[in-house]
Amino acid sequence: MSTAALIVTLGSVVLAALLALMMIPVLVWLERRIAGLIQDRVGPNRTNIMGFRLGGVIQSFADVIKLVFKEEYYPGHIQTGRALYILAPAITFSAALLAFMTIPFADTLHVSGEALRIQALPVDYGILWYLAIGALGIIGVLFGGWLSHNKYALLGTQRAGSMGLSYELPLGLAVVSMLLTYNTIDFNAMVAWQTQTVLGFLPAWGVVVQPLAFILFSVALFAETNRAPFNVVEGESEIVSGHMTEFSAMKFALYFMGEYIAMNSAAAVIITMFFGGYQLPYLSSAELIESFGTFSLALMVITPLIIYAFIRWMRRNNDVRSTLSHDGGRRFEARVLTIVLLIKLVVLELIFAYFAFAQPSALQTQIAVAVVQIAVFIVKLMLFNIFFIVVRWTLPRFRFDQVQRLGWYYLLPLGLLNIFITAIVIVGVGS
Amino acid sequence: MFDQFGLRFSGHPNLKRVLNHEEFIGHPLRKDYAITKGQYCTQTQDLMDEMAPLLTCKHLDMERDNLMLLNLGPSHPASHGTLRTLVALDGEEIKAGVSEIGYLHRGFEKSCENHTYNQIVPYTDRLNYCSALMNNIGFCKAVEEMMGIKLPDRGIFIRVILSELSRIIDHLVCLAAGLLDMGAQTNYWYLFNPRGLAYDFLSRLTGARLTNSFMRIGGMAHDLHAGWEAELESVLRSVESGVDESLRMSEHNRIFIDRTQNVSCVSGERAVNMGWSGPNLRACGVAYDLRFAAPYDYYDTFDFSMVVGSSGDTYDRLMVRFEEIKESLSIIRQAIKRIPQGAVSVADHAVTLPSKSAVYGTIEGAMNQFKLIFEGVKVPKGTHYGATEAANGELGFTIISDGSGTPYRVKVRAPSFIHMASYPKIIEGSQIGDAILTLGSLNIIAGEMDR
Repeated sequence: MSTAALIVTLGSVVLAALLALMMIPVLVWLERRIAGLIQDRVGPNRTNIMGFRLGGVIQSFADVIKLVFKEEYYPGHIQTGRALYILAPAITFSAALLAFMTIPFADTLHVSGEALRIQALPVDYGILWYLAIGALGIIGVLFGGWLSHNKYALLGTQRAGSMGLSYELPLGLAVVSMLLTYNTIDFNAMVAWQTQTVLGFLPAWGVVVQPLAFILFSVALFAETNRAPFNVVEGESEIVSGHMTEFSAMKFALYFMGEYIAMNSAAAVIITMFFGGYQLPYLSSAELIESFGTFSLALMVITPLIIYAFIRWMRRNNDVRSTLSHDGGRRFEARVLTIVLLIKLVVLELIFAYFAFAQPSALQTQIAVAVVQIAVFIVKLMLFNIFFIVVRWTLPRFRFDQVQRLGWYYLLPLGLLNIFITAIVIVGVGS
Repeated sequence: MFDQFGLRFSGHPNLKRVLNHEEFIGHPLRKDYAITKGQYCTQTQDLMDEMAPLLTCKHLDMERDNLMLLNLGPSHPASHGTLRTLVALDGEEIKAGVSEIGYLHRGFEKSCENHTYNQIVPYTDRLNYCSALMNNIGFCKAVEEMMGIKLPDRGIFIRVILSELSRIIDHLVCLAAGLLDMGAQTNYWYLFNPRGLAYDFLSRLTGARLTNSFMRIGGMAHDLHAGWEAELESVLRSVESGVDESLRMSEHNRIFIDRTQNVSCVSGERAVNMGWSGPNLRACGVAYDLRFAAPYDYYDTFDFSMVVGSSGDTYDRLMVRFEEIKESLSIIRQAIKRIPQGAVSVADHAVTLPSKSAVYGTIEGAMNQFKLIFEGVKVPKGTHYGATEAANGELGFTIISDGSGTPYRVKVRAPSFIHMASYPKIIEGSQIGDAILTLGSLNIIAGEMDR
């Protein structure tokens, strides 16, 4: 392998690991913060490291430390299958993590004649990998629930198994209609297809071209990742924690993290297939590379405005009632973060100025475009995670037989119908 | 009867203890059982002595029909209070259910027998602890009826205001918990925020947030505090906005409707036969409300409607409570406008405590205080049943007095006890999720049920 290929592959693996694993504390924090905002309260804002609260993210790290140091308790009534009982959460966690690995974060780099994918696993059958490996997560749930030797866990497992199975079908059917539209199983090619325009002015994103498939796919993914309103598996008020009832400390943490990684992967796949992935709307990678000078200039103007607005918002909100004698270090934190952000702003401006005015080489432009696309991907990913979270805290939970009815009686026929319509349209447009 | 008094019924298929533990020896409500004698009981019962006959009666067999027994409670995230239901499940469907209560039995009725009437008032708080003032009012009203006392008008209006406020907060608890059981956790916050404000108001008025003990025989502890109108109005406005937000999230929500409609339907006739009352009964279509049927405390002069449902399903039981909150808000606002000035307690020195200046300043005041505190308010000999429309239904007190300041016997007709008795019957055939929602919609308060 050439050095470029090596660097790119390693970088992609690190990026994927970061995006999957580092996202967990961020997602936990987002969940709690957004839950708080929806519920008319603030959410976690006390845990701090020397006064730095960072909006409450430190709480997630405190949670991680707590789970790591918690006592590993093995219930006495679980006598058989101890090894598998301990291994089951790890299976779910690994399956979720692996499923994330074929998502492209930026367009393929062309360096000295080589095409280097910005994917942790640089394969071209991304969607098939995701469907196959993602479905393996259910095995961990089944093992854990069965070996817990607990009736509530049994109920939860039964629900998880049958629900996971039922919603694989609408999921697969929605994917089939997308494959017909994009004519490829490669995530990168799908994203490239979405840079076209439809009707002259709409970006040809999956959601515009195939709205029904988007709805089917999203609902099926909500059910596959056991997120509300489909969280009958862990329906707290009915079956305590379902399959996770008898798990504590790190075992529970692995299930917990596996769920968040799965939600993250689901959001990533949705944006790759339906929302243009890492692309900005209307701009394909080639166009972006050509016009990167103007783009940098635009960024030079916009970035200071965004950072200024953020600093003002942060200083206004990171404050306490004036009657309190001690603000817990919040004003200090706000000041330090302001300085850090301003330094970052200066650095960014210098970089943008270089790309706007100096003559960068083709390789440098390509790398810069890749970085911009990664940033766009992360922004879209966060938006979709927020969507998952907002839906959870708004809707009540389905009953289990209603979940099954929805999957088999409504989503499955709709999926089939969508495939027929897609095929007819493609043949009609093609001829 | 058997449990508390030792009355044996011949031919009874399964004479067992309901409120006390099965290992308990003796019958507590008998006069020969010392009130201070406690017993230490440890064993749990597996309820198979009730479940087995039920299964045979339904021609079900554990092995053949592949039934799984599951304990819902007593420690379960969804059981409101310590309630235990043993269900026989076929997959997710409940084929048979048996309930066990008594986890919160504290011997209220026995305690009444050596306390004076005013000393019983704090005990009544702990019956339906979600709407404590209504229990106070119910008890005091029953005693006052026995004594033939009528409160001054201001006292009556204050009782109406506090009663309706307690009804509001009780319904808010039921609704918030019911929606929480469904997974709609945000409603819990929207509906409990006004409760916080109501508690602030009550704590400023009575000194306690939850167990107020504000009412006395013949009136109440003291008058309303200065500035109460503005504070109460802000509480009411916050209730309105919370209920409005919660309804906007739930009323037309397809998932909410699918979860609650046609779940555990109870017909009006069946409800009456089972002895239901309150919002549960009205949700079944039976238009019976003690405030209309036998008006007390000037309720017939207020302009409000009875909220009646149609099909008696969980949806109706929850929606009736939402609407009753709105009716109660209207009643409180009318009462605030109409409340007269004057005394709040009846001016009878044999009933109401004298003023503190008289107690510390005059010998008659001190003697009056002494007699009333030590011997209690003397209630004429006799038996009386007095009922009010509490938040859960008809809360009745049967008081047998022997002419002294402590009652001979007090019996509470707790609506939750009667509703819980019918719970295993109405969940048969529904799924676990439905059973949990039904329990929430019945608003079983363990304190009231177990006494």
